[in-house]
Amino acid sequence: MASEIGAAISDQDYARVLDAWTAPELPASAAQGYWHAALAKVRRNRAAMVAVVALFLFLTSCVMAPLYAHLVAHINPFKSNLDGTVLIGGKQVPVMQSASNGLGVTPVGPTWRFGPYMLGADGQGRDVAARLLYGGRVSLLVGAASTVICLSFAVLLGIAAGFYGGIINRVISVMLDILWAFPIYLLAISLSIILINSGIRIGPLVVHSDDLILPIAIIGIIYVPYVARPIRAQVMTLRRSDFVMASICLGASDLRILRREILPNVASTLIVFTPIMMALNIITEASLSFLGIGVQPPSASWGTIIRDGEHLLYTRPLVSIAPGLAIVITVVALNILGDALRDALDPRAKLTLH
Amino acid sequence: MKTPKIASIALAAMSVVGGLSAPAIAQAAVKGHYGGTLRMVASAAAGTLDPQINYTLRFWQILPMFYDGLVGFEKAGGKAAFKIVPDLATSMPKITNSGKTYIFTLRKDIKFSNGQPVTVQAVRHSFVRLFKVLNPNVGTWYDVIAGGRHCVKSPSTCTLPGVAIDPKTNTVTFHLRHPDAEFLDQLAVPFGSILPANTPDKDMGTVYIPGTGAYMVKKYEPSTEMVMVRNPYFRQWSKLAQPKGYPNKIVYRFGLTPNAQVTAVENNQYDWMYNPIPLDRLQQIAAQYKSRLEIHPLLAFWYAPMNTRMKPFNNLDARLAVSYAINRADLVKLFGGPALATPTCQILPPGMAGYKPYCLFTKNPGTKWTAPDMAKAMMYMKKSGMAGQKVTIITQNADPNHAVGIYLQSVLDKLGFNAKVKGISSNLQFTYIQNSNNHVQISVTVWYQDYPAPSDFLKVLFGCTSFHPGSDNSINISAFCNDKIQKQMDAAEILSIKHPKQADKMWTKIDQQITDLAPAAPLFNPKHVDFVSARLHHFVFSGQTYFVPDLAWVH
Repeated sequence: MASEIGAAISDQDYARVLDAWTAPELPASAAQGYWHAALAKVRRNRAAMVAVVALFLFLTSCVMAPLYAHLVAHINPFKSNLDGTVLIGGKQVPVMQSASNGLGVTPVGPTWRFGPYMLGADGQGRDVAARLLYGGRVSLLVGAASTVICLSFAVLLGIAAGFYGGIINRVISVMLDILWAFPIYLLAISLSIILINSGIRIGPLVVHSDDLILPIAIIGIIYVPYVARPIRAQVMTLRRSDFVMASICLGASDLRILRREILPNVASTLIVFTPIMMALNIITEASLSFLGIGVQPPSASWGTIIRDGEHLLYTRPLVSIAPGLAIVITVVALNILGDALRDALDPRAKLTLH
Repeated sequence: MKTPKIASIALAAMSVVGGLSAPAIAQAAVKGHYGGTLRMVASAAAGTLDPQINYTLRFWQILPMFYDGLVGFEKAGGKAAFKIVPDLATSMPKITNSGKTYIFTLRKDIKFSNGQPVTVQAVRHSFVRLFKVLNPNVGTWYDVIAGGRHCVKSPSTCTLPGVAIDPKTNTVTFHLRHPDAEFLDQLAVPFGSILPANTPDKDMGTVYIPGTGAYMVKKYEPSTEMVMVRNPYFRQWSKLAQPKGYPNKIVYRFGLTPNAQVTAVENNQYDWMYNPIPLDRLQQIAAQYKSRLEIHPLLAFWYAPMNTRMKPFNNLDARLAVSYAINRADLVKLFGGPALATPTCQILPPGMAGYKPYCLFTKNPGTKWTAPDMAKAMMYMKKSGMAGQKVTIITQNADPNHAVGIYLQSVLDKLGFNAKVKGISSNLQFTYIQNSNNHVQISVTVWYQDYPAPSDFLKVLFGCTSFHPGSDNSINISAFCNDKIQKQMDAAEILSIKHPKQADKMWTKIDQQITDLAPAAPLFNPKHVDFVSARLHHFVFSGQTYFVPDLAWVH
């Protein structure tokens, strides 16, 4: 059909007709207004703004972790400091304090001063506050990077299945169903045990077992079905919409339809999914690291720090509570932001993660 | 040593509560307190009940209550725990043929818990069965019996001609391929248990095999509990090897976390817990319940084996650098403090025959570790030329093993290595580090004695014959082999049959020679802490099997 129309009118006219038929229902200024309106709506949401501020503060603090470690804590948070001392109340006190009867050793507690051991020491005599900041860098990085991987694969697969249908849809759907069928943590744990014990070697590509890429890739991949399926469903609906049918009738290429019609309509879903998935990924990273199969030493993440404090729950609970609180605040903030974005971008949407 | 004190407290309490007269108290002290139910608790069961297969401390602690060998370790505290006494045999064996023939006479009128009599046929069947059920140590211990090597290669056709029986004289004769000073030790552990002649030649798993001990298993559900009751056919024939036992019933519950176990014992809901007290509870428990804690040194040592056939630790100077740089006092802190561990620089633990204090890897070398010598460590490091080498430390993924690995990483980085720690499952790590195909450079592990012999540390851990390339069962983790030292070890073993004191002197020398070559960095000797309920008295700690449940009194 495209060639017949093309034969009757010039290319320029064809493009104009196509644009007229397939352009969004709203004019460009109105589309811009849609995003502005959404942003304004988010700005008016007080809870969302508190969440944004909290996330910004966390991010800034974590970025400045090396400064804190060198200028404030004066310690390398990745090295054991079992025979170190700290100045408390004008006295040099051992970082690891042995009981008078020789039974039990307790790390120094929080000094609550902006200096060394502000939040106390862990079982290796390391500064908990400095490790918390360094751990935050890793947790946020893993959360963000795995979200990017997850959403990228989800968009690719969801759009391919939803738009092309047929055998492509069936193959992708089966793949997603298989991945979906595994209990999510069981799958993550299985992949982690295999990959983190041995690393990956594919030809010249070598990923070592302690490389951060491994937990990032594992977490990114396991959640793909959870995003790809709603996107596939949305694309299938869009595929049957009038404006997409019009584009097809006018002979627009698949690439053009995907770029101009499908992607812009899926974008809002992706934006809403981003903070929610990041929150989920941060929790998954913490869980895997707590089990010893996520981030590997010498790196630290909030999950590994909780694990470090597991044996100090009775004497120095803050070692576990501090990273636990950091995770709670970050995840709650991301979820609030996700809710606010959902309300702002598509008030009718009912996105749920099972 | 603690027993009389506890006994006196118990008697004092009895006199106050029950108003007992002085003679009654004295009588109770002699007789002990029979009856009651002893309640033990652990985080999990330890697998099969089959005494010829199970190789865990958790069950080696209770198996001697159900089974007997021809000889056994005395059920007692202190040094007596390492003494081998006749058990099902009437006396210690007659050893002839230059230490190659052992003749035992079996006691008469002893029955298994199903009423079957114990016969020489049952003894012979038990040793053949060891090979048929693929006992983990047949290839290293029991293949010394004539025909044993064939049985290791072909268990299904095993006839073991080296075990001869004579029903008329009720004797069992073992013919060995060569003299073995540790043969009696190997007969005294649970692997040497005598089982009924009709016991199937397969792992019996959770099914209790009738035994001759004072107790029998009434119920075993690995996920919940084991219930042990008195064996109706038992009569006490040797108080030293198999005493009658004090509690009437013993219940062993499984499934509580160590923290929950501490709370349960604290509240007297259980009488004894298997798992170590979590370090963050230790101070509180020590402060509140000091009288209910029992601390005993173990014949064991924590060490970091270094692979002597792989870079960088194929270089002696690199190994010496690590050995000098380790601050063993820091490691003691990681293990719970000076009451729970003692720094060491040598292989043999205190209390072991041949042990003579020796410490090279310290400031001011002598008999005791005082402080790391970083200057010397850096000097050796420079000499080795190994700075910048990548090193992976393999640890278990659970503390304290993992914590020790993290600490070692700091030490290696300080020396100039590029170190990282890889924690793997606690169930797998010990076999993983043994297999040379895994190319492990350095690891963290602990070795507990199987029986009290210096060769169980020196020859087993550093003998050429203990290194098996590509095998999960290659306990010489350092892959260390020194022909000169090996010859000395072989000679010391033979010497110990007739001249144990002279042999001990040889072992002392061998210990120092191996230590000087640093195939492993010895770290510390651990101590064992037991936490018991207020109603448990007469706690007996055997260096061989630790807490002896059947000797405990429960009020």
